[in-house]
Amino acid sequence: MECRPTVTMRRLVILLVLITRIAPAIAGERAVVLVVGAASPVESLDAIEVRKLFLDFPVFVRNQSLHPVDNFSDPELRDMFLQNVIAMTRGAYDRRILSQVNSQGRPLPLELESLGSVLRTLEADPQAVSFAWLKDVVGNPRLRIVRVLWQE
Amino acid sequence: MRVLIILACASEVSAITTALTEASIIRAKILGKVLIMILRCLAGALMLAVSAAAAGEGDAPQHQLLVFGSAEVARVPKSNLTTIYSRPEVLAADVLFTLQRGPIKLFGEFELNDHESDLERFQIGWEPSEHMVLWLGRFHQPASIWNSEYHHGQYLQTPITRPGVENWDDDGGIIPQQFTGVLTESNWNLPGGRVLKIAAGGGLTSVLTPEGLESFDLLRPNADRHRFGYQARVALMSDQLSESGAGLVYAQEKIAWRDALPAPFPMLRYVDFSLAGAYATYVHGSWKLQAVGYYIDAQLKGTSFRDSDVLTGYLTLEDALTPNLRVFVRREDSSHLSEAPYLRLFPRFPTARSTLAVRWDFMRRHALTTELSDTYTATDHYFEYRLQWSAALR
Repeated sequence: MECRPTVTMRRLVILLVLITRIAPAIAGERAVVLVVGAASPVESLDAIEVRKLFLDFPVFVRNQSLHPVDNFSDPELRDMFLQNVIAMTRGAYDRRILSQVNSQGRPLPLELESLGSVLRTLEADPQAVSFAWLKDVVGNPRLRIVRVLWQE
Repeated sequence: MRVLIILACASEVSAITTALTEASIIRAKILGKVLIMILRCLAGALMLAVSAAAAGEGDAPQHQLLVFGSAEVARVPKSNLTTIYSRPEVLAADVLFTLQRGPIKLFGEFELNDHESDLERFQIGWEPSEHMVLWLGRFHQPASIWNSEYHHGQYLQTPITRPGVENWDDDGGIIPQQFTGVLTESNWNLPGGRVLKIAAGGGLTSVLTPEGLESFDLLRPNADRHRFGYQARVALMSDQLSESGAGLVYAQEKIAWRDALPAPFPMLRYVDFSLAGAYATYVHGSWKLQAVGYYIDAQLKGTSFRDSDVLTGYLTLEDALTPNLRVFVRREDSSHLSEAPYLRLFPRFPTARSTLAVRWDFMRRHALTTELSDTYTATDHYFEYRLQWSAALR
């Protein structure tokens, strides 16, 4: 009977640790963020500008046009991005950006299949902008998170 | 006395003919100079673009190569194929290439199919801001609603065929679809999030030949008989990224005849061609509704025929039954056809047509489409069945 409060306290501490350490990690795993290289001139981009950029319209920051990088490393990530940020199905999005090449001669967003190549491109090209799961980029000193695009 | 009158008339006709011939020679000389000027401008702009792109700092060059491939078969039961525009098989590759560094862009489109090959577009552009681009080269004219949206990108359009009034010059088109000159495109943000888009251009337009319209060819330049035209389009879009909007188009062209004059119009000098149109597009979810109407006024200069006044247009509706399956219907119609001598030059023009198409996107950037159409021309009525594979390859 005497050790009851101690056990309760111990359980509470474990619960708190779980809440403070693991819960954000779980939440982070389900957050899609807009990410650029550390040297990027991009400080902020509102939702309309993000849509414009990934729909292959020109977006300029400090007189430099931004380069969208389409992250194909995880089909679920891309689906979340298209559904919640661009508000289009895969097929409709594809046809829309192909139309931009066809009518404006604008190069398609760069399509990269692996997370490593996405991160390397962002580090190397200050005008490149992409999206990723928060857990894949948080704490990387060579990258900068511009904003959270979607969170579960 | 009669002999004297005849002689006087003959001398008058001879003088007029000489004057006309001299005028033709002067016009040909001017056009020759204009052609040289255009080609020099293109070469200069190309060099400028390359040097500006090479000197550009802090902006990595971007490039793109994209191929729209397609293969189709068509069947027209119980019809004389010489009276309609229908090819039983079409195999086509439309190659787009683009290079951009900073504000300078180079864009080209080369189409290769089983009946022709052509440098469809070749444009050198300067994009000083995200709101404007100035192009020099060969373009599709902005007064065509369908072609401004899809160009030759067969994979991008839901149906297989385009409306008859939007047919390309070499596919029996009645409106010149290409010109070589200057084009400017701009967009302006308006209060309430709306956007005003303006495109205007001018340059050498098509000529008429016994085979139909023929546009100026950059790879085999021949300015003979090509005259000037200009086109414009103004569109109001519901917001920056929306496909919903409405607009007006206008084109004015002088279309001369090349080679032997057509039998119905032996005195034809040229066609003074004007087009005015209006359109509206509404996109809601997977639904897309489009209405397009054109008024065409074609005066056959040198003949005693009345002006051709034609109203023509089409209405389209499409929807996605599932994310990968789309259904499309289109109705085309025209009026005042009997009062349009200009259309006698295009006896196979579809005066009315109903089209139903179903498209299945079976894998990323590959689609299968089937289409049924019921077409009327001035002399024929026929059904047409088509099946097509189309893709975008990079």
